[in-house]
Amino acid sequence: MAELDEFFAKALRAQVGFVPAAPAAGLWRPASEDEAAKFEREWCRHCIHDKAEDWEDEFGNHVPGVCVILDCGMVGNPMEEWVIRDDAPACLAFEQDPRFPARCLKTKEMF
Amino acid sequence: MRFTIARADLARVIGAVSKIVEARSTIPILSSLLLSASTDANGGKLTVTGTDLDIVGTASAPAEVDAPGTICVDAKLLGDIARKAGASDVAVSLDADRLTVKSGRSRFNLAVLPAGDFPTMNEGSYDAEFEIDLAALFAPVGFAISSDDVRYYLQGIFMHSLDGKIVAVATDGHRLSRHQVAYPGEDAFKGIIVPRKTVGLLPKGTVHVSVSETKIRIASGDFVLTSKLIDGTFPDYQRVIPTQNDKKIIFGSDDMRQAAVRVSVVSSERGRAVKLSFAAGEAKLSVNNPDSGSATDEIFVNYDGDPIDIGFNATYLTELVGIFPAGDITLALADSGSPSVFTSEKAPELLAVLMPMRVH
Repeated sequence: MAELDEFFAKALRAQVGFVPAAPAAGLWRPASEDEAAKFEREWCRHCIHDKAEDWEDEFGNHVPGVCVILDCGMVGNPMEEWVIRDDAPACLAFEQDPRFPARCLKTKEMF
Repeated sequence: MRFTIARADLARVIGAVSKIVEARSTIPILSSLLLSASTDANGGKLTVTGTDLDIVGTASAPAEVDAPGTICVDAKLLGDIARKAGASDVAVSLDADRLTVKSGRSRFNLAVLPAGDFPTMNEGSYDAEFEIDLAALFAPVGFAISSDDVRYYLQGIFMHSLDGKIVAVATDGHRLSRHQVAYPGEDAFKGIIVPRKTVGLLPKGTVHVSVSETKIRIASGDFVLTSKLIDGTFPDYQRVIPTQNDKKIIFGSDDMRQAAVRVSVVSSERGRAVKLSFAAGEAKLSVNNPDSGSATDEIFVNYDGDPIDIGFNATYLTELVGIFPAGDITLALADSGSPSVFTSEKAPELLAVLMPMRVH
């Protein structure tokens, strides 16, 4: 396992020039594109943070209205808001978009 | 085309049909309303039609028609003009390729599209016709309509005739609501799924409903709504309504709703789990959130059986309790992992099922 980690670290160093820090205990980060897409579908899609309007800062720079946590987290940075709850990823900054309510992940299914 | 109409009438007919028109349509004709000025033995009238290709709405109002004709004009522009016009009358005339709208000293020239480009929906024939207060039938079940894109057949209200009753059912797989009233028609019809958008556009009060396998037509006075139905198979909902739940708990709807709202203050934004512990004469509601703390509350209930715990999503619970009239609600449980049934003596025609959740 250690050999595999070292191999991936070497490959990352060669490709992107650095190795992202390992997440702290209890934090979550996507292990694959599929896992990231599932998280976005179940959380970000129903959250108001990902639907803000673009804005302009005091220096006139155009700032896209995207979720900073999602933006940073999807490139591999460990985010404090992304945690593991009940063996599944969760976002502590989640605020439900009332126009697009989230489906409860823990309620049992009828069909 | 040239006509004069009362501003209030124009605003009313445009308001009735413009909800159908998609505000952000990329196809210009779908952002437009079809205006049709005509005369008959009863005098002149203006008919306004709007569509999103799945729903067609038509409303008409009396008008003084000097020259009949039809034309399409942007729905939002005409709606804004009708609402903000300063005078009590609005004069509309088609001059070359512009629609001139005059009201008092205001004058607007609007771009138009040919009436021939406006999409039409084939009316066809209907299997059953009846008069019913459809909005009232759908009101207590609408909350359970699913927003799941994958299970598109749950994105509407299932309506069918059964044993002399007309039954409306909606479910999202977590909760289910069923409302039934005596069927006022004579012809039986197959179950249909009325889309969510159509449900939101229903006029209040008694309407004339015509139903076929693919369409529903709702007429109320001068307003006619024709909608395509969801082409899918609604699940066998009767299979998931428990009939053997023997633990009956009676509680006050306001008590339960308020207690659930209070304890869910500390719950996480997502997955507002509330644990209900029923014992003789009382129910304890508790929420435990590892990130912010815990909360408990108690209400009096009418129950004398063995203690039982069950967990519900607090949002689902408060929403579901809210569909019943104020007063006592009966909750029928089998065990903590099975669907629970909510009924009320004050609304015997209404029944709701709620699935439990895991509570830690």
